Amino acid sequence: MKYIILGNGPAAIGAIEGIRNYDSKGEIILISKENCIAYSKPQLYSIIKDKTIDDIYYRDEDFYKINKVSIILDKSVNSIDFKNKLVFLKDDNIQYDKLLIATGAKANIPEIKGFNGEIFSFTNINEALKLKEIIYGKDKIAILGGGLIGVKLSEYLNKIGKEVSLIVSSSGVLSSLGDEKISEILNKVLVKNGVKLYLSTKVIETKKDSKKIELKSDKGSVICDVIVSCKGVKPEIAPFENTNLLTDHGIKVDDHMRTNLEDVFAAGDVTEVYNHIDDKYCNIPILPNAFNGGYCAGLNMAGKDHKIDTIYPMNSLQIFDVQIITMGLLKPSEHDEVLSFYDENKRIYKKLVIRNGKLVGAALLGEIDRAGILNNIIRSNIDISEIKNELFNDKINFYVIPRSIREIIVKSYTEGIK
Amino acid sequence: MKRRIICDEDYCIGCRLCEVHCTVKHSKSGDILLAYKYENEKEPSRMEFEQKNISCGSIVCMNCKDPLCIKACSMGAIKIEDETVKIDTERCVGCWMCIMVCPFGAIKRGDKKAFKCDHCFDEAIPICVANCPNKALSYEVD
Repeated sequence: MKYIILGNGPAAIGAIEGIRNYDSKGEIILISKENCIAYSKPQLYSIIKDKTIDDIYYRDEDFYKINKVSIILDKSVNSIDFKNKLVFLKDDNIQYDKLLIATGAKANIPEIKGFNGEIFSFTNINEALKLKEIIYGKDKIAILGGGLIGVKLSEYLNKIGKEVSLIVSSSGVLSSLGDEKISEILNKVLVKNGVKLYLSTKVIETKKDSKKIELKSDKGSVICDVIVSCKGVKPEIAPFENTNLLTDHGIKVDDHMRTNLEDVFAAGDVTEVYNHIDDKYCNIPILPNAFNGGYCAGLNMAGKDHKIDTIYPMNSLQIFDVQIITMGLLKPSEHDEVLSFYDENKRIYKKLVIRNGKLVGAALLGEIDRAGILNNIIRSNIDISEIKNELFNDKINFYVIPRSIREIIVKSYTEGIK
Repeated sequence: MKRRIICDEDYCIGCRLCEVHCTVKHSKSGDILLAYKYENEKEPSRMEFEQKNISCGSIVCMNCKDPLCIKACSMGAIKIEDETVKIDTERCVGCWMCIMVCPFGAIKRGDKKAFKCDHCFDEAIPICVANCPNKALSYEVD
């Protein structure tokens, strides 16, 4: 059996571990356009401050050797002949029996009227190193986009003494989380720490002279030396356009991470997966989903019949000194019940979203301990009608769950029964 | 996974001695008086004691068969070694993804590092189990 894995992120690593769980002999070839071993993208920010890539490797350097993986780095895939099972590189082609596409996502870079200089981005190691080099000796950085990447990058650039202008089109940062309170709290935290925050602001055009860039918006002007676009990511599906591979907002996969083509699997940020809570297909570019998807794909590529766990968004983030964990759906619809609590002085926020007696979303800010208990309640689809008040008022605690269900949970996790 | 500390809540009396022994065991001095009164920062217990009415018990890492924490860790810092889930503190950066997913709430936040029960790898049986006065805690190795 010959496996080819395209990409070298958590989905690819997960797939290697999945395959090797059942097939210790099959040949695995990994092809990555990046020239380094897998690293942790959530930790890319630390490169800006004091870390190097060696500090953020996702696995030990001997991981590939131990798992008998041949790695081809710094090579892009030009196209794939799915009919004849061939992957075409620039100067080579390789046959596969099973293929995993885990090519991730790339930065969205907007065009700004009147600007012909470079707009930087921050979604991979090359972009991060380039930005680090370019900002040396420059003071004023403008960041477009108040999503997770934009906010974290603002924090780190601020920490190394840069004057950061964060320009956000919506009325609050991290609006995609769907929780206005969290956005509101973080808006204040960013401003308090010295980030210049421009909310509900759209850049209309720019003017550049030899010294400065002037970004003109509907709310006035921002002067900067460097522009970084953090306006989200889009799945890297260019090599597969005009093929039979089914794509929409990413490569469409089923609950076994299979694409519509035989022996072709996909996982991670490149995919569009079924979101169990929203009941629709969407792109959920977060690390646990990438690893889980890759792991599941790996098992199935090796001949197992493995169904992926329930998938929905979740995040753990720290913005300056504020710790946040969110999971599931935070923007309730009309018939959902919402329990929420906010203590401004202690800066503690807790919110539960309940739909038909089941927990479908939770947000914790400040006190995040034991958040996984809530996550498990969402994942396991447990009815919480009887315990919701305790769950909301008390400290999150395993013993809130009725004993009979608790015993099932212990059994299922310790014995691996679903 | 084969090593598990199980609490039988019918026998747990809520004395929290498991926490005391855990703290002492993981303290710098290993001495109860020093650990509680004189060490600069009291070593936190790895146990999570919880109570609901007369139901009570302690929860620690259950060494899941297919641990969610390993899959969620953003640094690849959690591994299975000696049939035990272990956190490599050199690698851990405190992203708390593990806390986000642990179904038992068994992983705790330290100073930018996650920590949890290590099943007292240097003892024949974990110290909490050995000292549980009503034998509510038991150690399963199979």
